Amino acid sequence: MTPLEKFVASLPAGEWGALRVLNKSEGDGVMADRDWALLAEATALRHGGRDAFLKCIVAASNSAGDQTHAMTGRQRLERVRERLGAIARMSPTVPLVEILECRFLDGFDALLIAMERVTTLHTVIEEQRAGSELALQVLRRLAPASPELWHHLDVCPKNIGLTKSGAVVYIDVESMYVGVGTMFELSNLFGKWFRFPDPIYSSIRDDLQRNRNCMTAGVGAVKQAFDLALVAAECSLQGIPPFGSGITEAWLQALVDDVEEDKKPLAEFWAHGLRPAVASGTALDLKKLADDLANLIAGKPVTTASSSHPKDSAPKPPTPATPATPVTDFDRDWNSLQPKARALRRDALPRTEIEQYRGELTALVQRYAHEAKIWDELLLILISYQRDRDGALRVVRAAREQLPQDANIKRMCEIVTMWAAQ
Amino acid sequence: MSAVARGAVKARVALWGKGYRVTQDSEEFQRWVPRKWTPTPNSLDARLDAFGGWAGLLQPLYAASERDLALLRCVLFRSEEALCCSFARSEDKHKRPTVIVVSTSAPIDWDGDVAHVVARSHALATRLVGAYASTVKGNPDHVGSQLKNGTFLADNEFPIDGEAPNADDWNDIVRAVKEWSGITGVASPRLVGLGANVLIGTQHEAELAPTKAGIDGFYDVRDRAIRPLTNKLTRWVPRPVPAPAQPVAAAEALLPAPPAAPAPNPDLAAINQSLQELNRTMTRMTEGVFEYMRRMQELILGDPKRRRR
Repeated sequence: MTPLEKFVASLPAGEWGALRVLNKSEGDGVMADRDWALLAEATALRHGGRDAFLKCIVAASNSAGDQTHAMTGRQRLERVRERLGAIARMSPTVPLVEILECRFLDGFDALLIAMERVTTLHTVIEEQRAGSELALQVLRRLAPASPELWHHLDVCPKNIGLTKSGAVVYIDVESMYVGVGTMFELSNLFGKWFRFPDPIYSSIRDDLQRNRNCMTAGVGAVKQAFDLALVAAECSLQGIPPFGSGITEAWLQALVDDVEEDKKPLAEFWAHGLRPAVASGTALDLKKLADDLANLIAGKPVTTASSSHPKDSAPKPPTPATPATPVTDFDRDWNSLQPKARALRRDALPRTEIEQYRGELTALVQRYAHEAKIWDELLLILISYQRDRDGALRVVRAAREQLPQDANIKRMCEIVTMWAAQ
Repeated sequence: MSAVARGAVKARVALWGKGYRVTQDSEEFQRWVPRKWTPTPNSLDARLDAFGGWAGLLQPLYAASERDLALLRCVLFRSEEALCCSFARSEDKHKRPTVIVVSTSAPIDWDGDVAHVVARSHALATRLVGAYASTVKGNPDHVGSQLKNGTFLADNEFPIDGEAPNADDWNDIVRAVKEWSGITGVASPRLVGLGANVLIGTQHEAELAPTKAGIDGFYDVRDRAIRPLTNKLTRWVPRPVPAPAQPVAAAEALLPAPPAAPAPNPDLAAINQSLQELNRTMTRMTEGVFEYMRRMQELILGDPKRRRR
């Protein structure tokens, strides 16, 4: 029997109606991508016929590799189940999607996590249905009452959902950790590390190295505040510029430059709001940010969002009337990749095309070994889209040899090394 | 505090159908869920389990549309419980039509909110039977295995408080039921065979029901009251009203008292109007037929006044 057949056979048909197993192109996330989990939609017959999303994480077999064991070993799944139990008992309640059921199936070594079906913020943003009201909810509802209570490691629009009643909730339940004293014992370091500015990333890295993959609540609080502010900005502006070479002052400027004229004040507000974290890793005050955003929406004066750039008065370089034409082979090759790069970031590339894109980039790094942009792009695919730990480690070491002074490659090297050491 | 206070009620669910060998060594109509079950003696579950008239009851339902089946209602009452049955069409592995049944039984307290329990138990039965009709359609093997292993349901007790009632007249029906002694249940005409002695419908339908069904009255949807047809239904003697412990304060006495009779249900006004229009149409049609016959008589036999001359 295949895992799918085992799943269908062991899922009580009287409890879950209208079962529809999602195929690979419909599923999202590393679990489905690597065949670690089966995803399905169903009607929760015991819960008033509500729409449910089922995640069935198949426990790693004895013959599974290290990476599979790290992600889906029975021990880790037991811990996930215990964590969800602890979260359900917490007060005040954690803004996690309602878990309808979490148990190991009979006759199939797999953990079933059934939850209320929601729409991801990613979809809401893609469909241009997000906005500043949603951003306010993100700022006001998704932070813990106290930083040592719980921590969501992997905050991004794909891991936050909007319920039918309109509430925002976390949905990537395996990334939710419960505090042990003032620490969070992370069973998996996977997260969207590219979504952090250097100062915050460095502080998290040092903290994890110092505490052997445990995160202190204080560092987690700074991280989560930036996480949420960034998601709120994405909601408010209905999208943000690609991260490319990281979240820097240049990225904040692009945030303002890339929007239409009528959205400029809002973009300036977010650039101003995010800047302290980008510049110096300062913890953002989400409450103040929310209050200021509410004032901005209401047309009241906002003191904090006065300028978009600390050096606004400085003269800007003249913008050429027409874009510069490619002058080197690399520029030409790099420009030819841009449609795929954009499609990748819009999640518009199917799996096969991502693989093909990876092949093209692998060929290009041989030719342009000193071009950091190519290495960055290849690592982005390996880390964020294909979750290929071994491949990423190989590539990042090669990149480090070629570009030993490049700060971003150095950071990637640290991330992947930590990831591989788990 | 009532034993079945709101927020704590669960209903026991049972499922019947044909096409799988679960509790009998045949694929004929049988109980599928629970597979092993010893209901409390004399309980409504036990009574339904021992019911031997399924063939006669189900036969006419094969021709009924899905919508008609969904509108059928049957609630059986006992001193401390109520049992609802709902029906739905499905198909066996040979694509032949079948009918499956879901029953839900829940404890009730006659001094409590019986309508709350009945309305939600019925909603649960209707919702589940609709879902299970799809689940068992074509008799999938894995469903058969689960039915045989007893793993089709994790637990056959379902909470009912979250259910949304799918009919708005349960309050009226239960209020009417509470007025009479001797009621075993209320049901649509096609389901009275399950053991209900009060038919939901008209006097005409109650009189047409087979005598062996033992109809003792009918719930008239027009005036939302039960009309007894036999002396087996007797009005409950109202309990003596306890004398007030303290004289009513003057200000309190001036407060408007709630009406003795329930306010007319606005939702039934439309039904009443439709019935009245139907009545007028029938009268017009009868008058038309009489007029036609009179004219034909005149045509064939001539004017009666002239004939007399």
